[in-house]
Amino acid sequence: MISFFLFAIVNILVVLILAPFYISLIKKVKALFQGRKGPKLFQAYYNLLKLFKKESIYSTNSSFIMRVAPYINIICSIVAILFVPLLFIPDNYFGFGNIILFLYILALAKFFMALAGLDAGSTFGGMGSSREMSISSIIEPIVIIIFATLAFVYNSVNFFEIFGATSVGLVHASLWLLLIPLIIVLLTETARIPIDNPETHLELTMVHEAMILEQSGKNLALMELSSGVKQVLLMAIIINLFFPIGFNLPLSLIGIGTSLIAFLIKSIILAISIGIIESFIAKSRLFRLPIIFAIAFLLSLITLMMEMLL
Amino acid sequence: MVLLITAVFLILLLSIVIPLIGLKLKHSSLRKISLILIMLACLISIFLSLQVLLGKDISFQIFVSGTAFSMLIDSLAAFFIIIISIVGFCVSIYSISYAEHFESVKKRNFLVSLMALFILSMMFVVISHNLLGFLFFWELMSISSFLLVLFDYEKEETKKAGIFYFVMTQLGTIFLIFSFILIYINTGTLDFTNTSLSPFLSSILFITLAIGFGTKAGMVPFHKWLSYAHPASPSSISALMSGVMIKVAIYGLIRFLFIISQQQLWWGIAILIFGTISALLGIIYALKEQDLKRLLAYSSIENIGIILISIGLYMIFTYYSLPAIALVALFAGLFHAFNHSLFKSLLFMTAGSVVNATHTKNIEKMGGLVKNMKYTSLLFLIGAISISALPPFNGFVSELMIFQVFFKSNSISSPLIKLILMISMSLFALTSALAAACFVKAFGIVFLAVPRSKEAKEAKEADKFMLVGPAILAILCMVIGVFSFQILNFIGEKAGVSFDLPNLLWISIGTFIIGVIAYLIIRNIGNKHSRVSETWGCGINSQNSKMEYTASGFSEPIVTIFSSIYQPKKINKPTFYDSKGVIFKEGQASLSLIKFFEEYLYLPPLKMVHYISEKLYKIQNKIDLDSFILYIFLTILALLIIVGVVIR
Amino acid sequence: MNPVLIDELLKISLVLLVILTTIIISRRNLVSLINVYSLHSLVLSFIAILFFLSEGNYTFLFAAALTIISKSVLIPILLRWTKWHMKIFTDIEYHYLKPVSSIFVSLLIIIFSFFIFSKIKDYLGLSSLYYFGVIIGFSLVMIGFMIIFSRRKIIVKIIGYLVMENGVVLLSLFIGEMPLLIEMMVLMDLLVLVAITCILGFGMDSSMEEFHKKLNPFHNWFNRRAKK
Repeated sequence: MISFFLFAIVNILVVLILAPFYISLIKKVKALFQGRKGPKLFQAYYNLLKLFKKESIYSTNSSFIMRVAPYINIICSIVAILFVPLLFIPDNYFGFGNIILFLYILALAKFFMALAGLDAGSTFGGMGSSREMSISSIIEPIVIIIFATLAFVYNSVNFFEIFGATSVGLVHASLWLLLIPLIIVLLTETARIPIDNPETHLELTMVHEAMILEQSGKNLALMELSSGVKQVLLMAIIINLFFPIGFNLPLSLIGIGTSLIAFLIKSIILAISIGIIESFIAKSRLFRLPIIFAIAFLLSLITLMMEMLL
Repeated sequence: MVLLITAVFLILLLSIVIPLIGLKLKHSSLRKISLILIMLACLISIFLSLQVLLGKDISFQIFVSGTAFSMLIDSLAAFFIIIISIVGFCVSIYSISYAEHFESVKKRNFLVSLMALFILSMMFVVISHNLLGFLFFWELMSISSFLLVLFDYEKEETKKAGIFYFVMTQLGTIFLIFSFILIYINTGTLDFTNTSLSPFLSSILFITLAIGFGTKAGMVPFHKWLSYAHPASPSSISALMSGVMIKVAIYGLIRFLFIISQQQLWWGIAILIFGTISALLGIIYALKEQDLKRLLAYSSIENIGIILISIGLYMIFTYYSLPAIALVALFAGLFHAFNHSLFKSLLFMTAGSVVNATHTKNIEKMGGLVKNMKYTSLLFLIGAISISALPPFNGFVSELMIFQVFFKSNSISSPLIKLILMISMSLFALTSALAAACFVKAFGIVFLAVPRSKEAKEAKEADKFMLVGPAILAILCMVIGVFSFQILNFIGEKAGVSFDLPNLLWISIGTFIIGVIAYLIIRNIGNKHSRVSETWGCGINSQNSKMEYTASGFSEPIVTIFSSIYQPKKINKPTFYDSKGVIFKEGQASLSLIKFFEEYLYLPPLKMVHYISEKLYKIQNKIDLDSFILYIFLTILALLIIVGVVIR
Repeated sequence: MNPVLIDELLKISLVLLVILTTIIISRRNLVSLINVYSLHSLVLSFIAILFFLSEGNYTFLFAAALTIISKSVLIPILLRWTKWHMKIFTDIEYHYLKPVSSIFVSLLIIIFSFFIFSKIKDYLGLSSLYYFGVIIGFSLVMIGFMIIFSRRKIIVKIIGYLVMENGVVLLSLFIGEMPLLIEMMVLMDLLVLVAITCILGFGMDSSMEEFHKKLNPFHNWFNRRAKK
């Protein structure tokens, strides 16, 4: 019980505090690759603070959805944090940790975000939510197959149990193959190149940005923060599955501290590599995305096939 | 107990008759009495079936002209009676106001009376434990629903829909009759008893049953009537038909599957595959639909697909003698049937309110209704969240159960089956994600942004009865979702099944606490001021409804991605003033989606029947006497030859 | 080396082969197509090296070296040279199958061959991993076929052919008849070389259709002769 509360507080604080950092880190890496100096490493924090201090503007057309959606987003994200152990695994987890529930809580956030995109009656918002929903629905089979593979191998659908099992290393080296589709899922869910371009405000490339175009002030800050949280969570899934060094040390102050430092190092490396991946590939056309997803689907399905049949 | 059933029967009979007495009475009192009677009957039967679920089965016999028709309420029947009663209850409340919207007084009375008949027949289909009785009430259900579909019989579209529905449902019944005959020949009794057929005959029995019930349930490829009948019929009836009637078909399928002994593996696989196809195609067709009620009808096909998937899983796991997992699958299917009946009736009723307010079913002409129809939109939103299987609502729980059954397929020995299950699982995941997209579209386009027509702008909130009926269902959706762990654990203990579900109650409480804390923190550190201003319209002064995203625009990416399923036909015929094709004169451009099942599956047999009957018509329609005498002569000759050959 | 690790590496490289093949199906850019092909062959030679490590037979090492030299280096160079002569950079046309549907067809092919071979699995007497390798080999052959008929440009057709050939090598690696393997590889490579030189010799353009157009003047010439 106590360990769960400790877990909840540590997890939520760590993720919320770290979330903006990776946004600006990836921006910095990309800027360096483009020969620019790039923003400061803590720029995202300043941005969020600035947005929090600004007044929010609602469209005359908008309804309660617009006002509710940012809160639902941030609350869903915070609840989702409780599903993914970051540093250590508590003794008891009170029904948290179910993978499918985790996915669908994020989907609930996305549902309201898409509705908010349609709410203001702007063309951009509608376009964004239409594209976001299409992309997120065709990525879904891949996500499910990835987690089904894990469920088969570890005979569990709970993040806590799976991470507990992987903290000593993967059972099969062939599970490393899941890294590729997981990174594709990460890029998709966090709206990164080649699926989406978070930098531009150009209608041809906008997906996620278009959807939250009508948000402002505090609400925009909440939306940005929750997408940052989502990014950290997906990164944490990848890190704890494939690079579990320093994860789940014995529960003590030193243990948690060591895990935190290990997680920081690993996640910074992962974020930098995401930046590098983004710098190396071009934005794909919207209707060529199904090819990427089909390849990822094939990869994950064949991995699953191997795990089941061999 | 039997007394209560008789009471239900009599009350429903009374509520059929009462409106017919004062057929031309303009005052609504008789209709109200009748509807209240229906509610009473529903409450009694809920009570009754809860007794059955907690205690033991009720069985009795009815004697009609010397023949005994046995009736049985076991837990399965009781479960479906609960579905019928809950939805029937809410629809009756809704109808108190809804029935008054029709112009002609006669129609109002007929609506109530037929609705009572419809509910009565559905209840007794479920109770019947006898082939003839089942068939009788089944047909009564078909005919009453047919009359209800034909309710707006003045419209050409409705006539077509009614006839389409009638033909489809009767074709289904033919298959049912055939299978009932097979059962009767085998068992020698009209009661439901286990058959002992040869593998070949039992396969035939399975196929006929699957087609017969599948037609009624809306299984692809026999689903087409749903998309015609639902938009045509009154919304309260659509709610009943989609929420309950297609579940009665599912009940029939499950009931008769229990009867057939020696189940074969391929049956389960076939049900699974057809279920997956229904789910996927249903939601894909729903996504591109512009007619609100037709969209909901296609989504019903999707949900029937999901229920069939879990029935298929049940059969497959039973074949591999893994009863623990198989039972979870069956319960998942039943639970989804229950959930679907709740949220689909909710959606149909709120859609009916919207259609009443805006006088159109086309969602391209709606929009902005959230301002005038606050409560209706909230109810629709709850329905949309539940049907998109988002937590903590009930739709999520049943899909979660199905996913967990899929995740356990590793215990099956055959690799082929495992692979089929995996592919089916990924398509199922795709389906539920597409459902979310579909209902973002439905809610966003109908209720949000700027009104797209004058009617939508002037829409009025629905009456209080039209809010109370759906509201009960909405609350049920939420309560069942949040307390799913407790409810299912309770059921699981009775049935000896363990569901490995996350405790949504804890999670909801956790979410609530986090939400309150987060809200307080955000309120304190954030800027409290807000301002209302116009949406940025790229420099245009005032934004109008033509600048919004449309429904077809919303589904365009998905239509393009799944273009091999939609097969969009683009016709573009320009004519030019000059020979080089530079100065445009006039032209025709159209975009249509292929109606695959109608063009390739339904029409060819129809054409063949046409062809044959044309030939027969020529034979029959000769006017001269001689040819008829010739026919008689030839017939007698043929008979003589047959007799001569056969009797020897 | 640890046999379990070798098995896992074998699995990974088999899946990578399939994935690289699907990338070949869907890529339009010829430069990256050729690069992916050389990577494809590299993975194949890696499999041969794994075989060497597990069985210690030097023929495997020889085969791996041969594969690297011929397929990852020589043939890509030849292909690049050809591409440079043809002055084409992309192949954006597809026949019969669009990229996404061909990826799903290849998935179906893999599943299908899985069940075709499950009938003769006992006859072959293979362990399940080797059996999987045979399946992937066979499906590579089929997918190569698919690339050949679904792409338009000759150079991509050649790559499809080479993928087929890699599939044959994979099959023979897993079924395990080495002399045949060497023979086939040399034979196939020769064939490819012949094909490429043929194209160069003809001065053929990017696709068969273009080539037919080029032949057309002669056709007319013959017709004219006949009329006279």
